[in-house]
Amino acid sequence: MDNNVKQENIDFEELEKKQKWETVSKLWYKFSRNKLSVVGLVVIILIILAAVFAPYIVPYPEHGGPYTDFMNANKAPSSEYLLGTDIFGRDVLSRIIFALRGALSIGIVVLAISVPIGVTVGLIGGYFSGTWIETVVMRITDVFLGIPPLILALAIAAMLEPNLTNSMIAITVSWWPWYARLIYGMSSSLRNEPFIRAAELTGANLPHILFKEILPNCYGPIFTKMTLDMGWVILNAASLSFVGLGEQPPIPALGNMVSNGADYLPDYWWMAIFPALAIMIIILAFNLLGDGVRDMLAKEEG
Amino acid sequence: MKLRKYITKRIFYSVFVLLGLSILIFLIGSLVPGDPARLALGPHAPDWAVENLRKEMNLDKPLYTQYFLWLKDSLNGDFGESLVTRRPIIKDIVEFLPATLEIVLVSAIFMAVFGIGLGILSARFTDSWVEGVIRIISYLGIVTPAFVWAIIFILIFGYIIPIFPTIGRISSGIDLPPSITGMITIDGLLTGNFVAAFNTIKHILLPAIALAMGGIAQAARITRSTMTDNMGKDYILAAKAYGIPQKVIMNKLLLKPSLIPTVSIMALDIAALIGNAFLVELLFNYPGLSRYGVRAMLNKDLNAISAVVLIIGVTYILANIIIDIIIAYLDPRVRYLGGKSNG
Repeated sequence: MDNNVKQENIDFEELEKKQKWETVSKLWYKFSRNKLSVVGLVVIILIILAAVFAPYIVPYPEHGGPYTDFMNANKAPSSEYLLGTDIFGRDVLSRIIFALRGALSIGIVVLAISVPIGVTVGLIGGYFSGTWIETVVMRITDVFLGIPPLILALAIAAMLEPNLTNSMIAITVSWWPWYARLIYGMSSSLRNEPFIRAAELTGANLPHILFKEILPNCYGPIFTKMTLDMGWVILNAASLSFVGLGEQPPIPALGNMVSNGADYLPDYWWMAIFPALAIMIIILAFNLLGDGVRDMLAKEEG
Repeated sequence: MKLRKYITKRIFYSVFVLLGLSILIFLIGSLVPGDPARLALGPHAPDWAVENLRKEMNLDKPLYTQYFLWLKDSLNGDFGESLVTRRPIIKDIVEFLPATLEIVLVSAIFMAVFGIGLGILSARFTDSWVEGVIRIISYLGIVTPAFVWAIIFILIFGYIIPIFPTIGRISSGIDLPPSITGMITIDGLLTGNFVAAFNTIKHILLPAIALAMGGIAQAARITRSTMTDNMGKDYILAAKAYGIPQKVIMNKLLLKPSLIPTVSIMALDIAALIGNAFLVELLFNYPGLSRYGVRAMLNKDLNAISAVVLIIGVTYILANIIIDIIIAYLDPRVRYLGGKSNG
């Protein structure tokens, strides 16, 4: 008897493994049907690798900090300095690659904190729709949505010391409401589905209903939005450092490189244009990837 | 009429959001580590001066009293003095807000006109090169931040083909029209000072387009996709079967419902526009509220920051009301069911 059960278990596991593999290859098929999504993915992998191994791959590792070399200042792009040098004689390419580290870590940390908060708020608001809990939770969300997110982030960043951590805090506070609203819409319509009623009748507790029953139905839009948002969070962080409320020099950040470079237009155009281009490539890549994730996770029609 | 009831409801609700927003802004203001009065006066100020400023800023009272006093003053248009220049903030706002409104309005008009226009164009020419070109433009528009457009425009129109001014609001040496609305274009047109009006428009054009590009792209993309979706719907097929002319179908039956998603998304575009104005005004050295706000933020000028953020909040909420009214006009379901704006 015991043996029998074990035997069945093994079969089941193998079956599951096989099924999992099939789902993965099916998902990849759906994702890779659009070649641009694959391009986006490749670019993002390259960006991540460049950021992680920055000190080993940049041409001038010491240029990522308060280095000065006035002999080589304001050099136009050449074979020696591929993207030129800034007013302190630092290699623009090296600094862009170093700046990717801050940019990516802001994107990851902001989403890692704001998405769970927003999703939980949205789930609660939607599940309790029609009660005072919904009113309280969603009206608070509306207040945060009552102001452009960049302005909210700027105002918070202005109150704190300008650095990477505080930029993360400022953007996180302005970011969660968008997830709350997205999930609220979905969960309030799922709320009256029979499977939720069934879970309630069997006595499932609240966390189980919210996170095990409702949440899995929202994964598609959440992951799609998260992929797209990586680019937008990085842009917001760049905007903070652009006005001087993000990371401070000499730490390289894409935003402050653009704004400092803009002072030297048009003669030293490379100082502003290349970091700006880097921001655009990051946003473009995450947009392409996001389109692919959407195709991949879209519910099959018909 | 139903529409009026809906608008009343919508405005009532906005007052509530605004009240919540004022609490949020007040709380952000209290985030400052340390003593705002000491921060404003610097480390060398004598203690009695700091103490006086603390009293003046009501910092000696409990938090909720501070909030109500601040709210009462703000509602009366008294935002206190700038902690840096000691000028009454309301004076600065009256001076700088119209300049920003001018840019934002022009930019919003560009967004609506060109965005929807391009969208209709590309829906009409599906599967032709026109659609392809518009698609590439709209993708580029979406991924290019406003401040990058601004830099590109400054490079091209400021230096390579210098046909537009890239600094300031009006060229020096031009007589300003008397201030009626504070917006030089409108004041200039009203008082017959066309030189000033035309010169200001030239200054506004580049920053406004830089701010509008993202929204134009977004609006074009969404208008196109809703229109092509709706074209296959039964009511359009039925109208075609009845022999209703193509022009009437396009303009009357197809366009109105197809604009609903575009107009809805414009709330987000306007949020982005107002936020991006902070960067674009800096690049063009444009004397508007956003540049004023950035300076206040860099100086930790608490009173000025709260005032700017509050004014922007009011502006944004007003913009949202206008958008919701347009949607209610376009979409009878909203009017009659009183559907939520966040649906």
